[in-house]
Amino acid sequence: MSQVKWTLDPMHSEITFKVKHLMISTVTGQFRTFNVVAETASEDFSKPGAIDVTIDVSSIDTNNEQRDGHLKSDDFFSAANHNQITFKSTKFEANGEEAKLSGNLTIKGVTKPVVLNVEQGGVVVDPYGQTKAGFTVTGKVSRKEFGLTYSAVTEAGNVVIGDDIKFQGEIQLVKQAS
Amino acid sequence: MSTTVKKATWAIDPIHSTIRFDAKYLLITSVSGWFREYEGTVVSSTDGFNNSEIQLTIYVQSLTTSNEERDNHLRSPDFFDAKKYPVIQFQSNAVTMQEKKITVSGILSVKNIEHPFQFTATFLGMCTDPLGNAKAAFEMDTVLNRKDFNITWNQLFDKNGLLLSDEVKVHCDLQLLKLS
Repeated sequence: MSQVKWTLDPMHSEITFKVKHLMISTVTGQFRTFNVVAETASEDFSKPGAIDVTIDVSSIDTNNEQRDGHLKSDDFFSAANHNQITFKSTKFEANGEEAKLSGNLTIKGVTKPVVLNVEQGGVVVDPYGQTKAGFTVTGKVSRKEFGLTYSAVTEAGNVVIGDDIKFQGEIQLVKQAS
Repeated sequence: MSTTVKKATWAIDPIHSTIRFDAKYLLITSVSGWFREYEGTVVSSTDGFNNSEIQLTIYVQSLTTSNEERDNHLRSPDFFDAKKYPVIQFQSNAVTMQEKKITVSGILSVKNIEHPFQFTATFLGMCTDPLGNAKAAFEMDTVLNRKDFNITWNQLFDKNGLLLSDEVKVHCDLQLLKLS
């Protein structure tokens, strides 16, 4: 049975993460460079095969150069030693337009199983004749579980940088010609 | 007899704030962007944000959607026409706060087109940062129609689909720094 291969449309995809600052605010960042490849048995993603995500840590952008540099340092991601975040899927359970995508997430050399929520946006043909599939993928991880343990507390006891990292991927994939 | 109300002035801290916009592309996912440069002030009374005055200036050139070609298209006359209209501005004329909910009315100016604009924001709390500064946090979500500001560019695809949505979601996470 021939597999349908999909690659990323980077121009219409993004990965965003949010973290609490001082327990009251949310700071947002993105990874500007990443790749997704997927294989499905058919064109409709009802039973996908492997889904592979690779994120370039040094492409992090929180709209502040000093903070981005701090995040790439050994205090956080240690990008010089671990410049990739990877996700390899293990299971996809569809429930209508929603699905759960299970897989192994590796950050800073630590691998843990995660379950992501997937909303399927649909499959359409774009103005250039390409078949595109769209998804919104959300999840949450504890950064300390992946060795990102940098911590600071204010005099009053407010945690400066939260532990929970929420992330969201808006992903558009392009069907490859078979 | 006049009563003087003691005022507090706050500045939006752009290092810990986000002004983000999202539009649907091809009907299937959202493409988002931020404005990297903006400045804003809030003048409130010393005991709360009721009856504050809010002023915000956003530098249109500073938009980013993670793609230089698209960013340049957005800055062009097809969209924001940043050379001719370098700023987006908001000036409040009424601000009321009830518990954690803030209702703001004012005038939003995009491409020199002024439109009354009302939104609600949520007050998330106050605290002191590690440098001893008083900080206050808010978040807001709203939807704007870009056609109200003469940003009408679009393309058709797949017989009847509009490439880009007219509705643009705006989300702001704002952290204010108390100046005085």
